[in-house]
Amino acid sequence: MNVHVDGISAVQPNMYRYDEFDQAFVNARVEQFRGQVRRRLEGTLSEDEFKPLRLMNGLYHQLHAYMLRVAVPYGTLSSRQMRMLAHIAQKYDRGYGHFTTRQNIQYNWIRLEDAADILADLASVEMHAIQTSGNCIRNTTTDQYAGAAADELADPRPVCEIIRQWSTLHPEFSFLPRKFKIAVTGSPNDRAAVKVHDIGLRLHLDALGQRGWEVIVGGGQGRTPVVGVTVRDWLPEADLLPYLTAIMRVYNLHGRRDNKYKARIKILVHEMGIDAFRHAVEHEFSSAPKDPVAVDAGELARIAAYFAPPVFETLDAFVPEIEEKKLASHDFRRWMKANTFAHKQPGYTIVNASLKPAGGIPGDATAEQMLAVADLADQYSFGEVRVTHAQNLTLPHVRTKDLIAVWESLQASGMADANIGLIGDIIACPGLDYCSLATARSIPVAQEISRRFADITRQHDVGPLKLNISGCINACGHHHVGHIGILGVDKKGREFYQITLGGSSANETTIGEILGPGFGADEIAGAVEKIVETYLSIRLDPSEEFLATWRRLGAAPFKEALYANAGH
Amino acid sequence: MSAQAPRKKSGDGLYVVSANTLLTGDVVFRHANGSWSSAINEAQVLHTQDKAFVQLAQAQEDEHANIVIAPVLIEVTVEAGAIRPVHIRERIRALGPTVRPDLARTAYGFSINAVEERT
Repeated sequence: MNVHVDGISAVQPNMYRYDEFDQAFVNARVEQFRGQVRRRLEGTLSEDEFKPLRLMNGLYHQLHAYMLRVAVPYGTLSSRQMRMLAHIAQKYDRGYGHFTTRQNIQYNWIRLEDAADILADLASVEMHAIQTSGNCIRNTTTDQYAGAAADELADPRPVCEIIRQWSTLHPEFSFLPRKFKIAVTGSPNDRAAVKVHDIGLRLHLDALGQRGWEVIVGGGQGRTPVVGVTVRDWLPEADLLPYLTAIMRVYNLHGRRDNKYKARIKILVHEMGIDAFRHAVEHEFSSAPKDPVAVDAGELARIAAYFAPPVFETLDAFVPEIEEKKLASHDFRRWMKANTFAHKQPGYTIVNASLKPAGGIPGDATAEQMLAVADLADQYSFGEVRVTHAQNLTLPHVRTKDLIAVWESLQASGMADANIGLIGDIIACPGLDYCSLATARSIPVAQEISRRFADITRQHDVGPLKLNISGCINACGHHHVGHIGILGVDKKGREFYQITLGGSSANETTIGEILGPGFGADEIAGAVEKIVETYLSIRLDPSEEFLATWRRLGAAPFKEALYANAGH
Repeated sequence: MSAQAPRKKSGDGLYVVSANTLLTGDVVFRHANGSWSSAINEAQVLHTQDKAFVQLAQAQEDEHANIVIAPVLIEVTVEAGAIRPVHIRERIRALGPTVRPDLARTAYGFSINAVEERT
């Protein structure tokens, strides 16, 4: 279906569409906030009174200006929505936005007087910034390849949408002890980091093809990184919301409110013990009436219908011109290897647009790049875009025979670096360049490392390697689960960087181990190079990935390389 | 109230009052005449903690008047006539993100390179 925005035809992908209630609610919320802003500017609301109101609408005050965090539900965007994000960047900000590790987008230079107009623009394309802050259930995240990946059991987005509807302005769960994050995967190969979320949901199928969800609780990063534990192996899909409600009630009742650093559910699970926690949840689940929140099969089917697969063409999986191009072009072959992923539909391919150019700012996209991706989505991907938690963009449904054209277009827009999953694909939080909470800068470190590894051949020689950087202990850059993690700290007024190795958010989730003393800002990129060089010298063969080498040999060879003659 | 006291030091340091404008959120610094500017080099340098607290109190009046939010005292040095925040965080606040020199306020007192200096 085509829709028209400002005279531009856009393809409407299969995704959740607001009904009249949704639209009226979001519109009303915009006007409510408009009044709150007006009263703040008039002085009838003090900053202390206004702050919680603006935060409920995603408007933070950061180091340089107001920052607006816009929710991208489970990372799915239509081309029309992407164009609106570009419009906001151009009209209200400074021509760019920052895609985050929570699959959202942040604008760094928002004027308070514009905030309500921006929310109105967002509402016109069925978007908002509600619950992107505060001690509530935040945007549910999922696999960026949902509904497309060849290895997926089922599209997790209908369940994500049900969770979104259940959790939005849930009166019982709007003032939790602390923020709360839920991640969902419908694939046996976890790309949603479900074990480092407050709740992680992993889909399983039984012998009859019936769906059940494994419920993982108490994972998280931050100052106390914890791998979540399974509280239920198998939960029938119909029981999902009653069970989530039970978990939330146990957390809401018993979670600590005396110390914000001990208020996340991971601390509660740790302090209660998983058996006692599970018992409390199961007791709540079995004793509370399920009907008020249970989603019956009819409603599940209604929501799932929004996410029906596009009308794919019947195509051959083998496309001779693509194979010929791979033989003829090293660049195209490398791009195919790193930036595409197998689609469930023969003749289609998932394409990743890299927001990680060498020396660039991870996750930043200009308005022009957003528009380019929107155009590509319309032309080649049923009007659909995904935001990845690794801060890239995905075109989920591209005909394989169109890959050369898409690659060339992405090259023209600076989004074709063939580095997805490689060392150049660095996850980095905004750090001290933008964030009030940060204690050190993240982005310059990412830039320096990506420059050192700018040679894409070298990146491919190194192989899969996730390098994540956080500018403070809150770990928005997910350093705990980076194969190489870097944490920036303030040490007597100087930026200092601590290295962890061996983290992973994949199926065998692990928290990285601190390697040793940290490094100064002018040393850290060199230290990473030494780690990579050490890996290359000790791996069994090129097929042994960095993480496997780490798991085989541990810290010793890396410590030896970094500290033996360093005078630490 | 979001104002904070200067860090304890053995002797008095130099301070300026900074805040953000309510309307835009922009970083601003307080002049001797009580106005606000985005240029740190135009800020009034306060030579004692007592004077700093007096100026901070006046800035808080501007907060009550809905002109600025979050007024704070930041410690600075004055080198060759340029006012330079002591802490890197405040240097970045004063200049803008170091990774976007095109967005930085480079015209005031010290350059973007000054942020990079290790103290």
